Amino acid sequence: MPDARQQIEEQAAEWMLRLHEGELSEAQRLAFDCWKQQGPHYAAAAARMEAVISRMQALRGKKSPARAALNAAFANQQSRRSKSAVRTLLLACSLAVPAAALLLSPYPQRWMADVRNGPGQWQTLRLADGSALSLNGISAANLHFDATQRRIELLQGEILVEVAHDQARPFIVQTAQGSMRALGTRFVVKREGDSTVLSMLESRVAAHSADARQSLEVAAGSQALISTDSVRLTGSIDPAGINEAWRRHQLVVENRPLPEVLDEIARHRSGRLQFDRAALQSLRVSAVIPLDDSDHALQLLAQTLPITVQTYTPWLVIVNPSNTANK
Amino acid sequence: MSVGEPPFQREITQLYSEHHGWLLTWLRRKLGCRQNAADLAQDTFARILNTRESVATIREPRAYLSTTARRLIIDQARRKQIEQAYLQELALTMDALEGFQSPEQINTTLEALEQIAFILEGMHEYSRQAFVLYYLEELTQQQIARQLKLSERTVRKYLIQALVHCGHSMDT
Repeated sequence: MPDARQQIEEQAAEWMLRLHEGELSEAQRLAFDCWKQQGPHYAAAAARMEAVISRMQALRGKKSPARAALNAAFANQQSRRSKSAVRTLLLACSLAVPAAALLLSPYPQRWMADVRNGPGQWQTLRLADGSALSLNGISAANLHFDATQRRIELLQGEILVEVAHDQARPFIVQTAQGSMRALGTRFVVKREGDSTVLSMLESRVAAHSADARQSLEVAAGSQALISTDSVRLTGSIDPAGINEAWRRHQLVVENRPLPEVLDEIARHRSGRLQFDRAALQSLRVSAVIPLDDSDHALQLLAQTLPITVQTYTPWLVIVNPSNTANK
Repeated sequence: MSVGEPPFQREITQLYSEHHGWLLTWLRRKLGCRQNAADLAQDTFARILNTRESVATIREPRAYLSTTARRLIIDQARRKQIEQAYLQELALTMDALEGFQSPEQINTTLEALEQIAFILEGMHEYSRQAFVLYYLEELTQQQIARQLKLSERTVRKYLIQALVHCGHSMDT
């Protein structure tokens, strides 16, 4: 159905252009009439476009001021968007629960970034050099690509990069904690609080702490933790499993504290997920969790762990340990 | 644990659950971008929360939501930009225009420009430029191709895209 509709719209646009490009012949005019009579959507699509065109044409008497006004309307879109975002957030200050949920959402930081991704989303971008950049959940990055460098600044969330080989321009992923330098390889970088976690899927990269004091070569199958003043190996990972999890939009965890898992789920939700970190710290999780259906993910956790999940509005979900729920 | 939900909150929650999906679909078609659509849908509900007006009495919730979203897209700052640029250029070109523009005429034009800006929002940059050059400035596709340094075929493709986008924008 949506495809059929798209097709009708494209055909309508084609007719609109033809009408404008020159006088239609009698036969063409007839064909256009026939086309419109195929169903109510057809004539309606054409009429909507005609309405916009005639609005534009009505301004022809004041061409240059109209042009100037439209240019101004679309100048500097990026900063305008973020400004309005900040204002919305300031306004939200005066409000109770659902608004507070919005206020605490990580949107503002993302609004400024070159590349951003939202809850419940996975996207893969093909970069100019042929490298691929995938993002999941709430994530944001800036891209710095030119003749001498290929650099991705990861601001938030998690990315998987597949680096196209380029001897002349090393590929660098940078975070507040450090940087990772590669020539051609595949790896996942994730921001987690005050540290950056690097998981190598193929080949190797050189990881440096932000203070440049420590560096370490990390090979496929290894995971490293980078903080501003250190880089250390934290264990081994299963590259095939991680590839699969990205492909299937899952989170695979083994014996991880519940708050860490909830953090990860929160990155895939629009609303706020609230919980007492200390109270849940002792609960450990080993599971495969669907990240593209975070309500289901929370349900699964509630079924297997002594916790209660309470939904107040679409924006606020609170997770509590079962035994203290009535406190 | 019981939550004493005030009526307003209940109304909002109801509005949200009944129409959020529709608003998101409409914005997605309009903006051609899931991300911005999701952000804007949230903003729209945030805006309604902030007004604290009762929403239970709204007779056409979808029209109300789309109008609120529209005001967020073309916000006050942007309206001001449109107005300033228009008036400035109008002052410069006054002589070339036929006759004097009354304040009413100016207001009508500004309103039309705001609506057009809303319709063009979310359009690909080249599509928007080609569309304005073609239907407002009356350039030929060939002239537009030269100005935007694109092939004529590409210009035509962008115009088609622009028209499809316009169709979506008008579709409430």
